[in-house]
Amino acid sequence: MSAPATPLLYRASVLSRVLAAAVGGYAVARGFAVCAAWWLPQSRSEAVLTATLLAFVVYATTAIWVFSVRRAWQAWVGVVLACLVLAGLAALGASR
Amino acid sequence: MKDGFRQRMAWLHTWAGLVAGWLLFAMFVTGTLAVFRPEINQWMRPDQAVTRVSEGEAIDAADRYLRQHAADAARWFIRLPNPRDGVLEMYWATRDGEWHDALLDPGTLRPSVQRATLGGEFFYRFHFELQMPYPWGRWLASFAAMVMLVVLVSGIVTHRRFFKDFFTFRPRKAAQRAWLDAHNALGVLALPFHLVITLSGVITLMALTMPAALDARYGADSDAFYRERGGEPPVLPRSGVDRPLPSLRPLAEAARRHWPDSAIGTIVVGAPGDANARVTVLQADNAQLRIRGAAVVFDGATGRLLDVMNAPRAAALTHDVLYGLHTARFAGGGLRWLYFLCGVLGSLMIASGLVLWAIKRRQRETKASRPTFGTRLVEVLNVAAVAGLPLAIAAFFWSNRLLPVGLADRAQVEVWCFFGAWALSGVHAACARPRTVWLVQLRLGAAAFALLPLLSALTTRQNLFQAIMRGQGVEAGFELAALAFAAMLAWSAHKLRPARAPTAIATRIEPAPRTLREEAP
Amino acid sequence: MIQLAVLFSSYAAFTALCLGMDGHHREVFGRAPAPGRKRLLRGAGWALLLASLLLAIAIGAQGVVAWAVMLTLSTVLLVLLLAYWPRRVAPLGWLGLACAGLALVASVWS
Repeated sequence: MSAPATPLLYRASVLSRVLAAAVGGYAVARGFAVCAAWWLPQSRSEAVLTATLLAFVVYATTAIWVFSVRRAWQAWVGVVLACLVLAGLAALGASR
Repeated sequence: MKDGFRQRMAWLHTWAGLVAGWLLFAMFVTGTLAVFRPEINQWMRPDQAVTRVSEGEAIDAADRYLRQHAADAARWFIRLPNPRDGVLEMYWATRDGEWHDALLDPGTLRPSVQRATLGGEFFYRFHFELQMPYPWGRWLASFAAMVMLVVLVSGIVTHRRFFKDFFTFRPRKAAQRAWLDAHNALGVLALPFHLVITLSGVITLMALTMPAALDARYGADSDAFYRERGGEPPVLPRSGVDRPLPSLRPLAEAARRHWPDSAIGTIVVGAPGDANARVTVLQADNAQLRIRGAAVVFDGATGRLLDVMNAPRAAALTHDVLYGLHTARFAGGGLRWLYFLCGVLGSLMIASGLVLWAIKRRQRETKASRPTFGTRLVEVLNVAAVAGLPLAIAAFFWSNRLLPVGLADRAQVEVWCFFGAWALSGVHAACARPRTVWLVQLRLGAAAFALLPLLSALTTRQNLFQAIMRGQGVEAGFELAALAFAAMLAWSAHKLRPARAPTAIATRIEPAPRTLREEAP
Repeated sequence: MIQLAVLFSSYAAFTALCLGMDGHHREVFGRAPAPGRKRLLRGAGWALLLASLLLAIAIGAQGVVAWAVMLTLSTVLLVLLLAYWPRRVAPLGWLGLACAGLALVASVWS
């Protein structure tokens, strides 16, 4: 981070985490919002609102989690897995 | 990235806070000013003379004006005068979707303002649009707020002596320690405010930034969502069959029976003069915590009462209360000042964090004779943000008093003055030595705000002394706040003056027993 | 009036809680508090905080928001006092308590 000559590899890993947090985090939040909007046991408009409100908490949590794991690739694995699971659940909810 | 969870969180806090810090500082400062939007409007329109009229008279005036000027509009919005803002504000959309507005004296139905100015509206808009075209500014502001949320949470995790250090601030210690204390105290003590204001800020723009859930459940028919959620004034497409719109005042009076204790805020008329017309009368937004009060919907062709909207369900209520907490329109005078002070604390927290970064970095680099490019960039941006923004705000207020009243595009020129001053501050910061820049800009800011009442007295018919004697709370409050702000800037400059360079401070520390253990940096 | 009672009682509450911490007690009085005194200060602090919350709830939703904001401002005031005038902390805490009592009496009376 503040070493006199920051290795390129280190910079790449930081950039990769920033992307995982910003873009990946948004994808997870979006997935969560859709999923929760289908599965929450509320009326349609209420489910949409609850899902959207909570999505921002999910976004923040995901972003922090991305920076809390030891290696950047672990963060990516987690984000992609979460997206897949949420997409699956959302599709299931939509076809219910 | 370092090993250990806490170290990684500290890294995140430091760097995310730095990168978003300058923007967040500007958003916090302008948002804090926006708490007093109508009051700033009033100060910036000293030649405005508004006739105070009753609610009913104001409705009649708007009714008359809109029938005459916007009879075939798709929609009317009427914002009635209130104790904070006596202007009658009307918007209407033509059938081609073009928006028009009129800010009128409700007594004369003439423009009430001589000098064109955006007033407090400028700070309000900048706070979430950042002077960028729609929707980019809103996206960037939302994203910055998300980063703020992440920075807050990682800050809590990093700051492990959260409760032990709760009341700790040691200004006489070495610079870095004092700044760290200040940053921690400002962050921890006002943490509930920071968290609520940041999360609710993100939520105010959620229809733009997170439409996924709505799209999934409603597809293209988002109108259905707003209908089901309730609280939104219904607008039907024109049927093409003409029906005269009944007079608005009796409808408003009928609606008001549902909330006898508070005023009417807004009246929305959809498709006026058509068989599908709808008149929605909304309660004033200072009557309750949530952003939307009660609303009554009438058929705009027959005058029949169609709907009373007053009980949002759980999620809608949560959303509306969060939104209301952010805008603080519910707040009375005292609470508005408390909000303002909390906003100041938040701005100071961000500023102290930015300064702390530069100090730490400088100390690490003292052995090297010249600071690296990155450090220098941060220092320049810090001055431009923290000392330059007050200068820009002062320039905005000064230009309001100095620009000729009849100048073409006057409101826009005021905005240019704001950004011009800000840009100059940045150029100055890039060209001179950091300490000199801080001192010069802080002193200049202090002088600009201190002289504001004098300038106002020389250029308008009002002055501070008179305002205090006559009990004109808004004028007096604005100028006294400017003086207080000047004092704060002068005090900061005083603290920074060369005699108290870090070495000088070190010799001045009395060897008093310090009981709180040092936190390892 | 009752708003002032909320403000002053939350300030007094935080003074008590702050003095119930060893380090700050030492800064103000020059020594750590005896265990009994510490318990008393902390108990009084929490009780006052609860009392101010109850007063705020009595005002309504606006009152609770105001309470939360007032907590922040009274702690900031306290931090500045501790840093610059530690000797004034205890007397001003008592003053805050007295003012809270007065404001409460005045609000009930009127």
